[in-house]
Amino acid sequence: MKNLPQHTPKSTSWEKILQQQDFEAQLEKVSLDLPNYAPKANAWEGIASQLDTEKPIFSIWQKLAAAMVFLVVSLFTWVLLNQNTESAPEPNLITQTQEISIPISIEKPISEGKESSKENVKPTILEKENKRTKLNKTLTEVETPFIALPTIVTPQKNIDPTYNPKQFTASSENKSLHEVDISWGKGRSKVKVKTAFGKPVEELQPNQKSQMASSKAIQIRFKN
Amino acid sequence: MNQIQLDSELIEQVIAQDRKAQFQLFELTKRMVYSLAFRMLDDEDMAHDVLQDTYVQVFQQIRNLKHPEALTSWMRTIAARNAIKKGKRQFQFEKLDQIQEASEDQFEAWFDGELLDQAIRSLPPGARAVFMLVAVEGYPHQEAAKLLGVSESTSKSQLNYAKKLLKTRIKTLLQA
Repeated sequence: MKNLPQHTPKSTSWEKILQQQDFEAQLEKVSLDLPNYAPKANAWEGIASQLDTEKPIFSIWQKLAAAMVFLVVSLFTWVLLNQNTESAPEPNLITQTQEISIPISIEKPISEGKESSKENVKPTILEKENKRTKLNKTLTEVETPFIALPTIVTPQKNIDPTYNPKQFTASSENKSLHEVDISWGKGRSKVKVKTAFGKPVEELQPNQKSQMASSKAIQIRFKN
Repeated sequence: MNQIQLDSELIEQVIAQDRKAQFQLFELTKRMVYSLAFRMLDDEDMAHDVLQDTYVQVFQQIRNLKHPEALTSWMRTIAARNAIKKGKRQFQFEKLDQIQEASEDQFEAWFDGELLDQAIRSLPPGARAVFMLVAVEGYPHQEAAKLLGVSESTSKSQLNYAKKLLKTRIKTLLQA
């Protein structure tokens, strides 16, 4: 080593060393090499126990999907339930019997066979109601009042026994302005209706006209 | 910031929720996570809480990790977030106008990681959090400010304040 030649460094090398001594530069370098600390020995046990107890975290999409599925299923079941209740009503068959709670206990005729065994069973639910109905049992029959309509007295009129409403009798009271000529001849219309409506006043005074006619009448004499 | 290289097979096993693999990952990375939490909070109990919360979160959400190769940096992010969450109350940012600025004399000394670590832990909580996020973890000011719930300018001024304090603390530590 003694025989080897020596080399001189660059003149700027000292300045470069000083630059590295700069606080900012040192800080940048040393901050990447900070010492590490070790946690407590039982740190893992705490993490493991927390992992075992904590529920798994679901993502938002999973939560949304689960909510949607639940909604659809509940809607579907609701629709199904509604359809069942509407479409299939319980049929009222003759063979089916319904228990009806009657406030008054009715004495049923003792019948033979299977039915008698059923009817002999005393109802337990209507015990309270039976107490009430016992009072009703003692009631006596009440006579229903007779309802009758009142008789209306109408005044009687003396009607002429010979009176026939279909028969028309001409009288001075029944005088009319209508004149009816009836002929039974062959030919035209058999009924002619003449009315005095719209005729001049003169026509309505036949007495005066006839007098005038008699005075101006032309007498024609036929000779044999 | 020491980068830990993790085996891809181990990561796959951790994703498959294999408990042995989870423990193995914990053993490999526990110092990294705990040191970050402890340095930010300067409190052992709180750092342990952060460690526990971080690993539980990592094992539960590792399925959603798009790039498994970035697992360690993802873990550091979770740890930093949890530490901020834990120490939110203690992170108070002092008004820097009222603080007397330290003299701008030249720094003529050498310091190592151990000394810097001591100085960091002696910083006020707010300035320490900003220094840890920006200078040590490498977050940009914008992101660090967002994590801490402060403005970007506050983050910048707090970093400068932290550096000045560190300078004087290191000097005093070297002199002692």
